[in-house]
Formats: sequence, structure tokens, C-alpha cells
Amino acid sequence: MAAYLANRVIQLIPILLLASLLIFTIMHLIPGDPAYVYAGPDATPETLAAVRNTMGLDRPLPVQYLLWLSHALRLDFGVSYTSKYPVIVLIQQKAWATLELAVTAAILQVVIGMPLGILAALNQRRWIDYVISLYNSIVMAVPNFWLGILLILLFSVHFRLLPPAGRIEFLPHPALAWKSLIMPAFSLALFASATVTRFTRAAMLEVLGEHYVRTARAKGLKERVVIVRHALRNALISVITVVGIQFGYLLGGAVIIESVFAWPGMGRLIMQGIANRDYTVVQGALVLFVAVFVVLNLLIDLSYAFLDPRVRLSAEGGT
Amino acid sequence: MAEVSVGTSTEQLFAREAPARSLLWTSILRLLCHPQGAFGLLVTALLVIVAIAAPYLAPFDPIAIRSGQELKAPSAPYLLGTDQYGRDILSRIIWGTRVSLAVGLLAVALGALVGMGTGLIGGYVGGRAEALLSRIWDTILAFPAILLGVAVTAALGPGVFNAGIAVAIINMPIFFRITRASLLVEKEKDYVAAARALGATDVRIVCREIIPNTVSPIIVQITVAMAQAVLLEAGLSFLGLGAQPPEPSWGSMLSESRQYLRQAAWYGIFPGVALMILLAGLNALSDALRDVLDPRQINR
Repeated sequence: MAAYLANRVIQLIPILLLASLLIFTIMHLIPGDPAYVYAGPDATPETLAAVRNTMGLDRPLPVQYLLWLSHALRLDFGVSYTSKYPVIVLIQQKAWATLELAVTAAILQVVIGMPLGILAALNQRRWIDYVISLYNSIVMAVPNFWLGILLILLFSVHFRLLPPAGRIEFLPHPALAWKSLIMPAFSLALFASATVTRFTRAAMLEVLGEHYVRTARAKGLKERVVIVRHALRNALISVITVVGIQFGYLLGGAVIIESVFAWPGMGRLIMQGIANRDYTVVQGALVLFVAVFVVLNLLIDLSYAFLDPRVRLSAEGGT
Repeated sequence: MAEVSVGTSTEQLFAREAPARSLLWTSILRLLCHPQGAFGLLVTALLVIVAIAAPYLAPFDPIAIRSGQELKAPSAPYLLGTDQYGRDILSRIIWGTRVSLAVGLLAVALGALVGMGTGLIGGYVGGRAEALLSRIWDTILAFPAILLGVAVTAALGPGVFNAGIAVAIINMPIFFRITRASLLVEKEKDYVAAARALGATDVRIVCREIIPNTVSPIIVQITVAMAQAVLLEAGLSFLGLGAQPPEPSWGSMLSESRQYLRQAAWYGIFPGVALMILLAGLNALSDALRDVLDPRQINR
């Protein structure tokens, strides 16, 4: 297990390095002079030169990259050109909002998706199964940002129940916070829940065909016990994997949803950074996003090995 | 000198041409008999026709501004209402079909070309070239798709063409992986050994023997990627990085509609319906193709 873990972690390093290089290159392709953004429109050529010098912009690009990378490894992503705050401070302010959104959506996708998947599996090839499958096809054709607009139309414009935009912070107003959270989280979750339903159904069907389920039934256990304790528990392994994989997509999808609901998170930070050509901010946020995404994928693989002894054994046998 | 005689003898031995064509026909027929497949094929074909015939189908000029006609509710002559500049929403949706499908085609064609090309090279050559290519594509896959799209369009500049390039880059690693994986499987099969024993060159083996046998997963992936490309283009346009005003695109229409939801609910609804129909069609098509082209999946 330790060798397997070490091997997987080592594999991450070249990917993260390449990703950081890619992000750095992309950001330097964006037209416009960052020194100009930093110094403002009234800056004299002398000021611009001074700014370029202090920010290291007059050095060769490879040197700039290495300098940036060495700082980034210590979570120092530089200073925002427009707000002059350290990038990491801006990220700290926004990351929580995005995390709140993604975690709520992750919970919602399971709450919506799993019961439907179980229901479909227990009624395989009966009308409930077909209705759920049809519903799933519809859900998978609804883009999350359009769903967001439809929800705003229904609950903010028509019924006037929920605020159409913004975020109410949880800590001072725990009773009100859900009002601003529920629509963006649901918009993000619904598409993902269809995948959870599909996987839960497939996993349940597979498990229900196993010998130990037949044994449990033969022992005379109640159907509810067989399904919950024997079938569902084992089906959970593959469902957890899917939920983990989806979490990365939820974080990515948050970029669009934050724009729909004016949710003050990482996605808005990136979009505003692009609009203002504030590329230290965009660079830092992107690198962090990718790092989280990659580490998340590793954790999913590891949890899979941890939850399923067969994977663990084969991994150990292989090394 | 032996080239010519070997070439003809492999042709005679395997007679690849004839069964390939009949396979295509049986696939199309089976697709039409598959309820999802028929639906997907119909919807997709219909929208392709709409895109091509947009100038004849659209009742109004999609970008002509009409003062006094702003935000009219759906009724004759503006069947789906008008937007904040008095432009006919139906006409804009019809022209928007072009943008969606064009970006989808560009993204999938370019993505499949580069992805499959590098996949063939990597899978066939192996060694360091393969390892390097794998690392590069793994890095692309390490980005959430929409974020990479945002970063690339920001660097290239917003616009429909650049959005297509961005989505193509997102598609490349998936085509690379599929091609390489099927190549690795096919490479070991007996028919490849047979062709090699007959003296066929590497290029010939890849083009004439291996590619036809890896075509099914690629076709399925093309439809999956098409749906994803349409969705991503709409998303990028929604964020203001795809189609630029006044160009009609479903994503940017939805984005603009947000400021007028109180006065014009239809504005926020109809472009999304168009998007949903296209996505449902493409999804159904890819699901059905998976069933039709892969006999192992039929009983699922």
C-alpha cells in the first residue's frame, strides 16, 4: 500500500509542473501590459519601467516562470495588479464561498440521485425504471446556467421567495444563508445527480446479482435488510467514487453558476481577473484549482483501494 | 518490388472494403430501429437542416435593431418575442444553431484529428514518445473543462472561432486515450501479425488494418464530444468569451436575458429550450450508437 501510495504521489509532480507551466504560458499570451494595469492609465514611461523592474517583468520569461513557481510553492502567488492585495488573501476570501457551493451541491446530488438509482434498480425494466431513465435524459440535456435562470424566473421573479443573486454568509445568519445557497447549489447539482442515479442503478444491479445477496435472501432475511445492509453497502463503493469524480466537475461548474447568481467565489474572482487583465490573480486561482482537482482524483483512487479490499490486494500484488 | 503483389494479396485475403460498407449500413438501420437512436438522428438532422437553411427559415434579420419593438411578448409577427434591441428572438435562435453546430464541428474535428493522430503515434511507436504525449494530455485532463476553456479563450481573445479551438483542446486528450488504448489492444491481434507476415508496412497496417477496427469507440466519442462541445460553447458564450455581440448565440442570448427577466421571461426561456433540444438529440444519438456499435453493451 505504501509503495502504491508513493508511486501515485510521485506521478502527480510532473503533471502539476506541466500544468503550472501551461497556466503561466497561457496567461502571458493575454494581450496587454500588466505594468500598465498595475500603474494605472496616467503612469509615465518612467513609472512603467520602474513597475516592470520591481515586478520582474523585464526579465526573460523562463526566469519569470521559475521565480513565480518558487514563490507559488510557498503559496505566494504575488500581488493583485488592480486591488494590490496579495493574491492568496483574495483566494482565501473567495475559496470558502465556492467550497460551500460545491459541497452543498455534492450533498444534493447524492440526496437526489441515489434514491432514484436504487428505485430504478429495484424496479428494473418496469415502468418506474423507464420513467426515471427518461427523467435522467431530460436532466442531462439541461445546462446548469439555464436551469439557474429558470429557477430565478420561478422563485425570484414569479413567487418572490428567494433572492436572485448574492450570498448571505452562513455565520452571522445561519437561518437565512440557505435562501441564497439553495438555488445555485441545486442548479449545479441536478445535472450531476443524473450521473449518480445511473451509477447507483448499475452498481445496485450488479450487487443484487451477487452470491452473497442470494445467500442473505436464502437465510430468510427481510428484503429491507438484504437491500440496505448487504446490497446498498457494497454498491456504495462505486457510488462514492462517482461522487468524488463529480466533485471536481462541481468545482469547475461553479465558475458558470457563480456568474449566474453573482456568487462571490473563485469563479467570479477568475472572471473578474480576466476582465481586468489581473493575471497574477487568474494564475494563482487556476493553479490552486488544478492542484485541488488533481489531488482530489488521487484521493478518489486511494479511497477506492481503501474501501475495496480486492483493489488493495491486486495493487499490492502488482508492486 | 514485393510491395505491389503483397498489397493485392492482403486485399484479396481480407476483402475489407465490402464488409465495412455493409457494417455502416447495418449500423444506420439498427440506429433507426433503436427508439433513442431514431430520436437522436431525427433531432440532430433537423437542427443541421435548420443551421444550413437559416437564411431561408429565419423570418427576420437576426441582428437588425428595431426601435419601438423592444422586449415584445411572443405573438405575431414575433413568434418568440423580441429582445432588448427589438431583434426577433426566433430568428436569432435559428441563426444561433449555426454557431452551436459550427463550433461543435470545429472542436470535434480538430480535437479528434490531433487526439487520434498523437494517439496513433504514441500507441504505435511506444517508448519515450508515448510517455511524453501521455504526460502532456494528462496535464490537459487535470483542468476542469470549463476552466481550461476560460483560460484559453482569455489568452486567444474572445470569439466563436477561438472558443472552438479551446473546446478542441479539451477534446484532444480523450481522443488520444481512446485511440491509444484500442491501438494497444489491436496491435497484439492475429490479423496484425498476419498482415505483417505478408510484408505490409507499418503505415499500411495502421491505416488499413487497425484504424477500421478501432472506429466504433471513436464514433461514439465523436457524438459524446459533440454534445460536450455544444454545452461548452454555450457556457463560454454565456461568460462572454465565446460569440461576441451582435452575433446570435444561444449562450450569449441567455446571458443577456438575465437583465430583463422581470419584463421578458420568454427571453430567458426559449434559447435554453433550443439548447436542450440539441443536447437531448446528441445525447440520445451517442447512447444509441454505444448500443448499436458495441454488441457487448446491448444487454445492459
